[in-house]
Amino acid sequence: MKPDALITVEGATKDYIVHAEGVRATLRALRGIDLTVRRGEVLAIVGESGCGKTTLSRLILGIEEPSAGHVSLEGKAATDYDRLARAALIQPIFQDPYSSLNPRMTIGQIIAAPLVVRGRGGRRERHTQVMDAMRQVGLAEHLRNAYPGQLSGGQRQRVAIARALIGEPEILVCDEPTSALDVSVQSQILNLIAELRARFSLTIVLISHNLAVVHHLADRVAVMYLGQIVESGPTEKIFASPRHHYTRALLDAILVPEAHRRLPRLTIDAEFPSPLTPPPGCAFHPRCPAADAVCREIDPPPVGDGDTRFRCHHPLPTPA
Amino acid sequence: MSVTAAMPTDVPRAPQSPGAVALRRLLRHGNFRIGGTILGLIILAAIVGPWLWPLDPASQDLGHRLAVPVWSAKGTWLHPFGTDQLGRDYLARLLQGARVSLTIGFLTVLLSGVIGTGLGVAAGYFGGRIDVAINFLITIRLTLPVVLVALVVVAVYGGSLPTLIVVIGLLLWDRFAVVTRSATQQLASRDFIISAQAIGSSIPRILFVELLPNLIGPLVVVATIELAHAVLLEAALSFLGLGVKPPLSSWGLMVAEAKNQLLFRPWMIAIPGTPLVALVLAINLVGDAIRDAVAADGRA
Repeated sequence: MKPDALITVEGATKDYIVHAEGVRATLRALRGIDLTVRRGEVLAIVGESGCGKTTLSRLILGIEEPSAGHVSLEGKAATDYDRLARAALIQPIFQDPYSSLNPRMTIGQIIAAPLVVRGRGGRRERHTQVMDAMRQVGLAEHLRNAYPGQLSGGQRQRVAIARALIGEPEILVCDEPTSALDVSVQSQILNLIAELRARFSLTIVLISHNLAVVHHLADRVAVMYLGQIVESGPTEKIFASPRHHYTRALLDAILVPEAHRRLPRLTIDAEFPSPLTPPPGCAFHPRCPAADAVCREIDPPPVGDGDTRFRCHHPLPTPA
Repeated sequence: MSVTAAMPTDVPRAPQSPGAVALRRLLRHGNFRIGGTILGLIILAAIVGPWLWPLDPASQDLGHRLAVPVWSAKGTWLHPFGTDQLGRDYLARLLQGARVSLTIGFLTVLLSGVIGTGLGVAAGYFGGRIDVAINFLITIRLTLPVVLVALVVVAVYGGSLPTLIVVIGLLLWDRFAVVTRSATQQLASRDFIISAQAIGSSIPRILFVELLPNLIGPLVVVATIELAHAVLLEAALSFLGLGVKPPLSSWGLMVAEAKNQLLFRPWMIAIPGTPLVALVLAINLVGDAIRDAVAADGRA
């Protein structure tokens, strides 16, 4: 383990027992994830819906235990922390701010909850801290007595961020923090996250399918496909010269707001395989333009050159 | 871009809790106004009635048996609703019956509500084996015929007021459990419960501070249904002679005692029967209105 690795995921696998059409089946949501997040960096996890991004975030948060492998925070298993110690270290921000705030609590009560749970400070002291936190995320003071139902999506997400930060955690796990918000509000929230990251030197795990967001915020990117990390590396490198065909396809699918420009031509078809019956060999081969017999038989192991790693038998060439 | 530039400008004027919103909607609801008025009158009569009409409901006056009510030709204001077979004042017995019905109703709902909510929340929140075990309990409870079990228990232990409350309370918790279980399951998957776990909340805090306030709507609705249920069950048991024991009065008991007079003195059944019907109807109207007031809340 590197000394600066704050989050270490080693060979993490997660199985769910599901009942599909009355038949018990094992859904392998994660298939051997290896990942390190260094202190102070922003790591983005990207991939299509259903690829296991959210499951991975739940393992990192210690809400769920891996079926096999390890997830550790500062060298200690995520599930071994007692609830208060873990809360002081890592906090989540969820996708849907309409679901993440208790409709029966006022904004002030919601933001103060982490302090109350820890029994920290008196009433007056907590009030001051809540006010500070609200100011830092750009919420007007009078909203303290409002209920979540009276707030807009962007305001609610600010409340969620204030709640996450009031206990001064080191790690923030943001699961699609902007995808439920209006486009006009998304950039405000992203700028806020970037600003707070710099101010509190946070380590952030950013889960997103929005590559523009990732490009803007992340230091490193891990691309997931069907429960595996198929490519990872520094953001600039991944965006400039992806090695995996799936990464290439994701980048090609970015829509550019430019007049008279046609929709991007997708190099892969739309179908995402069921994680209940993953394809043999490389999981991506049914959709891959470069797939051949080897890809259908053998799951490519991760190979690395420098700080990037990818799983592909026929990687895209690097520009010389 | 600075953070202050993003300062929200839409200012909600008076912060309204979801509870206050539901209450305001409730007060405007026609069914609530009618049902609430009737229910209020009956509760008021039960509380201040025996004080305003201080005749002893148990004292017999055999010289004045089966007196007719005041609106009959021979009626007197001495006994406005007449007297029963033992010459006891019918109005005083009616007022005492209101006390008995409401006491049994509210205390049983309290007891069954605590049992049912406890089991339902535990099953819904913890899931797994606890859920299986509690579901099994609910199923067992549903297989028991309520009236039959109540009859047997009362026959064995006697029909005192506390016995009745405990027996009915121990039988009517199933709907509370079923409703809170499914409501809790839905809530437990919402992100605010996961957030509560992530900030390190203790399980009691998650259940009582985060979860329970969100269950108040469905709980109140079930409580009204069970309140009407309990009132009717008490009346039925008393009618069968296995409920409230004389000389204590109850509306069901009064109907039972008057059933021989059905053809000759129909008012003797109508006088306790009418408020019984009105009470149950009022409770159901109020329950309906509460369901509307709570469910119409589209904002999470």
